[in-house]
Amino acid sequence: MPVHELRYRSWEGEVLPVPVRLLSVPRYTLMAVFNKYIAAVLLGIGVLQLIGYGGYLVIVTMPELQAMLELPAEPVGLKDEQVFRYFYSVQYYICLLMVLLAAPRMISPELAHRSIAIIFSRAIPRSGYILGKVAALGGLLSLLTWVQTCILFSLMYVLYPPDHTFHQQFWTESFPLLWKSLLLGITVTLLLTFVGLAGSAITKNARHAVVYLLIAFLGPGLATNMISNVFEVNVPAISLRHLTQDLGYLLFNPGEMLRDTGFVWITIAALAWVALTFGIIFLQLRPHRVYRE
Amino acid sequence: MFLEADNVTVTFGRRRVLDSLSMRLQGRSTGLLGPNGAGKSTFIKALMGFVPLRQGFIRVLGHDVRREAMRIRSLVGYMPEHESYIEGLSAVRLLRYLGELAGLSPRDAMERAHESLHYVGIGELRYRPVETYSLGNQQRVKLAQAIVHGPKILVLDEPTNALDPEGRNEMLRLVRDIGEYSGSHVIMCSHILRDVEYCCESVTVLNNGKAILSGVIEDLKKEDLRTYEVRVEGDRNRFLQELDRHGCYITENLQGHLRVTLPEGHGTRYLFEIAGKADVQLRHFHFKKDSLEDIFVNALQESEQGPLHAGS
Repeated sequence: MPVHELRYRSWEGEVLPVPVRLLSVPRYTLMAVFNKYIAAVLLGIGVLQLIGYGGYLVIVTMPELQAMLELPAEPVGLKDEQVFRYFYSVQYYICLLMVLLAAPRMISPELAHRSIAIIFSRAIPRSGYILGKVAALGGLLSLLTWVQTCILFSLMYVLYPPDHTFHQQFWTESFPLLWKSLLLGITVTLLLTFVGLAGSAITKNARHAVVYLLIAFLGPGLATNMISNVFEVNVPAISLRHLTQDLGYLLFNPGEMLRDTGFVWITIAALAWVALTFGIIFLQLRPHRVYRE
Repeated sequence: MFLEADNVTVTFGRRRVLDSLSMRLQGRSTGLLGPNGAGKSTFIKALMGFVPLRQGFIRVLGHDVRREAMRIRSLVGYMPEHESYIEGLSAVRLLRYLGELAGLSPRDAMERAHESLHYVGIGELRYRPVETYSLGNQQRVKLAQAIVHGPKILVLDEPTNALDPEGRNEMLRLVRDIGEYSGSHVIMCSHILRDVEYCCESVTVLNNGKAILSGVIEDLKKEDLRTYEVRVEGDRNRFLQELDRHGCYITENLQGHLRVTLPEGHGTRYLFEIAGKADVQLRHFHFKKDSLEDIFVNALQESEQGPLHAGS
C-alpha cells in the first residue's frame, strides 16, 4: 500500500512494568549471539561432558548393561567429589571460549551502531539494561556450569541404587556436594560474565573486545608468575583461572591446599573483579558517553 | 504548552552549551533551528534527561525532567541523527524489540512494528537486516522506531540527513503528516530552513545556547509596514549615520541589502528625507515580508552583533 494512503495511528494500550520490559534485553541479546552458528556448536560441545558423565553413570549403575557391553564387573568407581572438580576444570575452558565468542557481540556492536542511544531513549534504567545483558551471558554460561551440575547431581540421585553411599550419607556427605558445586559454578559464571561484558563495553569494535578479553584472562596470571619468578616472592595469583581453580580445591579437597590461599582471599579477589568490571560497564554506558556525537 | 524550559544551563567542562535558555513550546509541530553548536541536540538530550542540568528546569507535559526522566522518556519517541541499528536484526525484529522495551506486550509490539514500517514505506524490506538497507531506508526505520510505541511527543534530530531529494520529500511528508494528524507533538531539529518551514507551524531559533527567537512561522513572516529593504547608490556610511541619528533600526540581509525599520509614526516619506540628507539615491526599495531564512539570519545577526551601525 503506498505511503500516502496510510495515516499515522497513535497507540493507547496497556504499558507493561519495567521488570517485564527488561526481559526482552536477554532475549534479543541471545538472538543476536545465536545468529552465528558457532555459538550453538560451542553450546553443543559444552554439554558433551554432561552426556559423557550421564552415560557413564548409567553404565555404572546398570549391571545388565555392563554385561551386555562386556565391561569388567566393577568399573572404575566414580568418586563423587572428583566428578564435580574435573567437570569444572574442563567446563571453565569451554566457558572461556563461549565468553570470547559471545560477549564481544553483546555490547560493542550496540555502541558501534549506536542502537544503544535508541534503547536508552526508552524508559528503562541503565542498571536494568546491564542486568539484562548479565542475564543473557550469565544464563548462557549457567547452561555450561551449575545447571549441568544440578542435572548431574539429579542423575546420581536417580540412578544410584538406594544402598549406595550417595543415599546412605545423603545429608552429611552427598548433599554438601550440591551447594559446593553450585557455589563454584555461580562464581565462575559471574566472574566470566562481568569480565566478558566489561571487555565488550570498553570498545566499539568486537575484535578489539576479544583482544582485551584475552589480556584480562591471561594477563594477571602471567604478571603474577613473572613477579614470583623474578623476585622470588610468593605473590597470590589473582587471575580468574587461579581464583576458580583455588576455589575448586578449597571446596572439593579441603585438606589439599596448593597455595597460601583461603576463602577470605578468594572472596576479596572475586568481589574486586566483579566490582571493577561492573564499574567499567556502568561508566562506559553512561548517557553522556552514549549520546556524545 | 507541552514543553517549558526556564533558565536552563548545561555545561560540558567549562563550556556552557546551554546558557540560561528559556522557551515554551506549544502547537503541534515546532522546528528547532540553529547553526552547528547552537545547542539543539544538547537541548534534546536535556529534555530526555540524558545530560544533567546545572540550573533551571524543563517540564515536558507537566513532568519535571530532574525527577521524572523515565516518565518523560515513556512519552517521547526519539529519532537520532546518526545510524542506529543492531547488527543482524531485521527491521521488524528491531522495532519489536524497541516496542517491548517501551512497554508494549510482545504481541502489540509485533503488530505496531509491522504497522509503523508499513507507514514509513518499508513494507517489503522489513525482514532484511537493517544494515543492508540504503541510507534512506535506514532513516525511515529510525522514524518507524520512534513512533512504534505511539509517543505523545516525537523528537526528530535532523531527519532528512543523508537523504536524496526524493527520500527527503517523502520523509518531510511523513513528518508533516504525523504533526497534522496524529495528535502527537513534533519537535524537529534541523539546520535546513526549508524542511522546518514545510513541516512545522512554529519555530525556535537557538544560538550559543540561548533561544533567540520563538513564534509561529506565519506570524513571524507577517509583512511589516515599517520595515523596508533598500539598496543605495552613494555614500553608504553617511546614509547609515543618518539612519542611526534618526532612530532607525538597521540590519543587513544575505544579498547585502539594508533592512531599515523606521521609528513609530513614520512612513515612506521619512526614509526619502533621510536619503536626501545623506545625499544617496535609493535604488531598490520595497516593504519586507520575511522568509524563514530572513527571520533566521536576522535573529542570528541581532543576537551576535546587534543592529548595524555606520562603519560596520
